[in-house]
Amino acid sequence: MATSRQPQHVEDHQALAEWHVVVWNDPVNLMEYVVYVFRRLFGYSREDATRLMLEVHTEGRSVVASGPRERSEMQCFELHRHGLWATMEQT
Amino acid sequence: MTETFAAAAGGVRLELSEWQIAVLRPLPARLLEAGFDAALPTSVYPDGPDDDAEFQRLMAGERKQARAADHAIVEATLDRAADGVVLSTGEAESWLRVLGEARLVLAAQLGIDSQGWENDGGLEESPDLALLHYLGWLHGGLVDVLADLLPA
Repeated sequence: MATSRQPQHVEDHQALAEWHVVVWNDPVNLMEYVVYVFRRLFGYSREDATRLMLEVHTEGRSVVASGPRERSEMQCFELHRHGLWATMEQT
Repeated sequence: MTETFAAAAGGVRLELSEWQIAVLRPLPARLLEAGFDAALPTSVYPDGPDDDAEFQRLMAGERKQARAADHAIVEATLDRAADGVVLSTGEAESWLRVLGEARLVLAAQLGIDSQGWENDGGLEESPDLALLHYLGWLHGGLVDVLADLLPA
């Protein structure tokens, strides 16, 4: 029987799938501010946060976290709240 | 010269001169008028409009509430800053987000969309560009203080 709902195993798969949180470069936020936000939100060391910030700055984007969908959404929300441009993509 | 933001027992000490207060006082109202989404893309699913609409539906209210709380803290502490006020770390982070938001909004209104604008000059002709630079100086000072409070 056809149904508009997705089969349960598909929903389960989507819920359990890993998602990347991607931060994109912007021309305004200070480099040291981006480093601070990465340390504050994700607990990175100064060195790791600086490496990720430089990747954003030079490559245009960086994956700053990976995990379940709901957690990734909350991380994006917090990044937006701090004025950083963040999106999600499925791994 | 007194630092605008400095580490203090219990948080971050903020001290502003009268002209600094006069410059900063209009910011929350100006930010409210501009709207947060005008300065920053808030889409999380660029290739999934339905998922994105659902995310926005769920989070828009919370985003608005959090932003209003940050603005309220800045407004409440601004006048007391003339004599120096110690902000809790949470209050200092509200200042951090509001200064960052102000920079994004000003940059959007100035049409800044690429790197290198800091060296383009034009400060004398554009009060908003001068304000953007000034807020960058303030923002950087607060970042330095808060960064030292984080575990290494």
